[in-house]
Amino acid sequence: MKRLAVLLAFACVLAAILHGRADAPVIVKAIQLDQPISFKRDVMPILTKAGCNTGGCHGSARGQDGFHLSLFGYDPAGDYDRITREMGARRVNLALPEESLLLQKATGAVAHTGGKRFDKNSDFYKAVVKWLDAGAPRDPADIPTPVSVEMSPSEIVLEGGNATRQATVTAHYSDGTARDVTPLAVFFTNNEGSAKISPAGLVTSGARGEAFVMARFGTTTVGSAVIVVPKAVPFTFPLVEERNYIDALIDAKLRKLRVTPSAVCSDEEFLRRVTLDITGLLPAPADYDRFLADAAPNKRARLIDELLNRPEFVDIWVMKLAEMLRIRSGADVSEKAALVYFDWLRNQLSQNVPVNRLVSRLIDSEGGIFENPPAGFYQFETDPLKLAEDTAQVFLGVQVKCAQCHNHPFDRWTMDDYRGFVAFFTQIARKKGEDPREMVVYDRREGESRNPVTNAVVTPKFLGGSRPDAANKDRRALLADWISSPDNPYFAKHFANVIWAQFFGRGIIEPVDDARVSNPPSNPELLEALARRFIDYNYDFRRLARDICASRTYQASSLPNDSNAADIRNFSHAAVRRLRSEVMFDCIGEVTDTKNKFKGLPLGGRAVQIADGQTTNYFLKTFGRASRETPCTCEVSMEPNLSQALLLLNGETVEGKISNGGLVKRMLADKKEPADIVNALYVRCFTRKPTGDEVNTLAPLLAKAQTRQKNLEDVFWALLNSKEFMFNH
Amino acid sequence: MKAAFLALLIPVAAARADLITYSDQIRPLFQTSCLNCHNPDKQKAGLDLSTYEAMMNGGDSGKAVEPGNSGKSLLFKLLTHAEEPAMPRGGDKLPDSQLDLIRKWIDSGAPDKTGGGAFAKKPGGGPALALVAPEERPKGPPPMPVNLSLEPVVRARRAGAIAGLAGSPWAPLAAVTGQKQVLLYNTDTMELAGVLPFPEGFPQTVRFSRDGRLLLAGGGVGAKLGRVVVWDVATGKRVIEAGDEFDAVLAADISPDHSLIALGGPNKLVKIFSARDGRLLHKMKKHTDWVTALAFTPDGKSLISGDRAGGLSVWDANGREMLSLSAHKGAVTAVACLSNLIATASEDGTIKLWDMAEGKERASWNAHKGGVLSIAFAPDGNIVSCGRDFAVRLWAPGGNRLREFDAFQDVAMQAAFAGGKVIAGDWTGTVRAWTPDGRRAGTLDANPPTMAERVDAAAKRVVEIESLPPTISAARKQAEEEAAKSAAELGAAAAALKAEQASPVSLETRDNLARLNLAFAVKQAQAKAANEALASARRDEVSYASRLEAARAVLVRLRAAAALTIVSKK
Repeated sequence: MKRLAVLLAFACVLAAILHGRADAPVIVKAIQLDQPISFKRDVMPILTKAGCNTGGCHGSARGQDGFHLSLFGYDPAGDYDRITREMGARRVNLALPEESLLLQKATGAVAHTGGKRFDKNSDFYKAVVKWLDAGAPRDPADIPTPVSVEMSPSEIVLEGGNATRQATVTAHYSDGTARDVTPLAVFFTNNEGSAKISPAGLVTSGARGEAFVMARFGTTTVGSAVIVVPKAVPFTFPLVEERNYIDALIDAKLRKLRVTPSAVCSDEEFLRRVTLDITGLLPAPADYDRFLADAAPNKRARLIDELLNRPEFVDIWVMKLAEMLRIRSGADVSEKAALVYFDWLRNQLSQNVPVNRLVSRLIDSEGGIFENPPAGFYQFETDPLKLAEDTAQVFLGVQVKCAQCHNHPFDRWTMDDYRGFVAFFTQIARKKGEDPREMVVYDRREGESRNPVTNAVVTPKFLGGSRPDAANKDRRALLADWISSPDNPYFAKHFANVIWAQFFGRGIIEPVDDARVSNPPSNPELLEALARRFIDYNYDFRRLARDICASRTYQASSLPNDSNAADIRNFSHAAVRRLRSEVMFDCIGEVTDTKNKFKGLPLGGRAVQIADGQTTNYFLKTFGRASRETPCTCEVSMEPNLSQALLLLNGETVEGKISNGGLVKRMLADKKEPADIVNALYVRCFTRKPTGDEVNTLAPLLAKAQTRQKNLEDVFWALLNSKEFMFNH
Repeated sequence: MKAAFLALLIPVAAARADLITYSDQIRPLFQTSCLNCHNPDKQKAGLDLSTYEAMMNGGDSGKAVEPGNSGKSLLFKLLTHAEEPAMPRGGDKLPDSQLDLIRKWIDSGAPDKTGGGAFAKKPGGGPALALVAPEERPKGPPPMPVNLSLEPVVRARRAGAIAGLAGSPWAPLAAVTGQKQVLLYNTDTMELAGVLPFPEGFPQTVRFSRDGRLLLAGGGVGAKLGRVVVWDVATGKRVIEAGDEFDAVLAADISPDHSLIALGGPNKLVKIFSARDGRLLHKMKKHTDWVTALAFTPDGKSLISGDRAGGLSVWDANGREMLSLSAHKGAVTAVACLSNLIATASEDGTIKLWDMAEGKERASWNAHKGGVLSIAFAPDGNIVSCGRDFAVRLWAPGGNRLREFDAFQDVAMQAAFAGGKVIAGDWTGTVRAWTPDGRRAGTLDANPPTMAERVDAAAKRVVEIESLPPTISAARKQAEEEAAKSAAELGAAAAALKAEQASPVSLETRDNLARLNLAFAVKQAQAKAANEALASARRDEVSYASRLEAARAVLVRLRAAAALTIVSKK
């Protein structure tokens, strides 16, 4: 309190001094200098800051040896009762407050597995003693609560290592007062290597890079971005072409980081990369020849347009959405239902229906799945809690699961937010249709979401938004409107991020479906701009994809330079990314001229077109095809493992396709020169001609006629087994 | 037993008319909605609802109806769709009016027919719950403290929560836990009778021995040390010390023959020590949570222990487990025994009476919502209890509520009987006493003042009274003067009247007479008032004297006690 008074006095003086020079308005609201000690205001934050109510200690589900505190303090009333009255005379002693076991353990005066949490001379100790001296009073019901918390400065740039800056945290209460809560906030960083933050809020720089330092107070977590740049290194940003808003925003960030973007990639690299990213296939040899021969200055832009108009673009996005919507047959979902749902989705995307309307239809759907395929949305998950979590994750890009049982520790979601969102899904009912494979979804118009601590009904509340008037209304209709509205703060950003991730292998928020305060976007302005454009483009995937592919940033080479070698978050150079399983499988088929047969598809269907998550083969599974059992984007696995290596080296797939496709045989029969065949194979697989060295190395293998076919097939096999094939660079 | 108890609640006048029975209302209902499947031929899930006996036998999932408790009856739970499978199977849920009827029927004991039936049956059977024979009074005068120090070891700013409270079985004496001390109060005079220092820490539990001669206290310092101490009540001397624990002792008892001390606490162990030399005799490791209640049975043959998870164990005097009971759904907060009756209290809100021979519950009732924190037997077998609903109540052993005492302002933590009074203490440190018929009988101070403070206060009182005399005698003097003046005035008025009466009659004299008569009457009244005032002033003088004497006597007594304290300290 005293500190605040001093701060304010100083602020007033400062205002007076500055008055002549600049506008420095200082608004001083009514301050009570002598507030009565309060459990919620003064003692609860101590329990969090001193680490008493963390998940590893008394905040765990069962507490420690019978003493349970709510995790990070989501239940102050319950904590009050547990501390004062649950064990009668044991935990607090109002006659001799300093003898209270609570304090004896916290100061390490008696054995405490949790160790010493604070000292007898500390402010924390004094505050608890003061509260006990006052008789450990219960707080009145109308006690002011924090409504917002801010951390300042909001952006910190530090030069070199071991540079410091003090952060302060201010809480604004519901009675209009402000309070410096820096000693009570819990600080943490998401990148200790670049920036540490001490329990007192002192930021210290480490290695060059970025970090996000955060403060948690009450139910709020806020943060500040920290950029650490090398000390006194002369830096000039090179003259680079800014082709569109994306480049401008990327470059703005790179400037701050003092990182230079890599040069633009070659035509061959561009052709391969953009064809894979847009269509999931490799460029055909004819396309290769044509593109390289083209001398027009806008040939890259034209190529982008051609590729975006191909039907394969739709296939890729149908597949991605099918993963998000978990389209998969199983015990509860018939194959027919899954297929009907998938076909509907495909139709919608082929007709270029804006994705916000598509999602709106999904949420608002009703009826039998066979006539109303979007009702399939409610077939794959029946638990309202999981439905709410999945909806938030898939359409808004946020994971609220943690708030099911307690307020989210690293994000802003409280149990009330969570249960309020669940309330949109509690009135959905399902019954079997006449055809047992069909499920009928309908609105029950009854069914509530309850707070698990108080058992009170929680009315529907938009996530991070307002409470709509839901009396007698179809709740899902309200939700559909909110999600699809251009004013929704998450939807457009999330999809813009997903689209971005498709072309860079990594989102501006990464993981793509885990946006939270402690996982901020690496370039918030860029994400904001992409989202706005997406809305302006009426949620058209193609138009945003065009912007992205046309940018210099997308067309940067994957070769890093000295300044940007360590950067993976700011897109200063292209990332080398492994092809996903379906694309890899399709590309192998494409270059070997073989056709695949999958269940539910005609001969020649591609893996990216598979409707059912259940349908798979050994190759796809090994290379991490999503099983679609959860909507998490992490299901698409890019992790390498031994099975993958062995499969490619020894397995049927590559060998088999090479011989079944008979490409080499055909080319030899067509009397092609061996050197030309090698060229053709390189162009097919790598989208480039072999280098001089490669030609020389391979020449001896082509000399003898008897071994020619076998050797060429071996060369083909080697190409398919190389990283240059498997990776998008 | 519960059914009988509930029977008392049904207003007698309306009893027969409103009675819902199986044969009259319920079976027809079953006939329509249930017997299709639950008849003797089909017996879906093994349940036949067509006869009362069959219904009471239950089915594959156990009992269908729990008489007196619709919330626990599986039949009701399935009908209200509170549990799966929803009944009636494949049909509409029963209308609310029918569900209400069924609920009322089950809650009223699920009677079979009018005129007997379930009321006559006692689920569980067994002997009626009542004191078989009171315990025998020991020979000799009731053990009371004699000349114990009254100086508190700790004088805090306020009292702490009352952790332990006990009443002597044979003397008007109560023991209250305090800060590093146990306080003894004479419950006849409601005055402090002794302070027993407990420098080991904070006593958590106190108990008198069965013959009232000894007082036991267990406690210590949380997470640091624990000890049990036993004093001789009359002399205040420590006679036994047992245990060297690393956390405060939460429960303890002394065997009826004074040979064994049992203790338990947060280390989940029950330990039995020899009372003669403090040696550890047995260590029992069974409880899965803190040991929170302990009691030896009156015959000294068994020890009952309860824990924070609701488990109850019965041991023989050699530490061998005889029974393990898990009826309570919350921590066991107290175990009490009297003659043949054994009672336990729990955070699940119930008090249960036990038949230890068979290890069965004989009665159970909801006593305090939120948790029962303490129980104690009266010599006649009644039970006093208190709990988290701030209330203190008196029960008959069957669970009939006999009395509700006026509630505390906070959690009522401990209750006891002492000297025919009910004593109880709460979380704020308030301790109250009542007579069994519910009248307040005073309070006990859990944070008594030091002798110096008391002497000081008594001296001040004397001084205060001593300062009164001038005002009292001044008042009396003034009253005397007033009375004298009145008397004189009266005399003058009488003389004037007489004179006027003697003069010859005329118009003038007639007026004068009237005037003088009136004046005389007024003076008479004034004189009477003055005399009454004088009498009252004289009485004050007298009573003052006795008040002063009384106050001086108190001061003398306290000074003597203080001197004794100083002497005994030396």
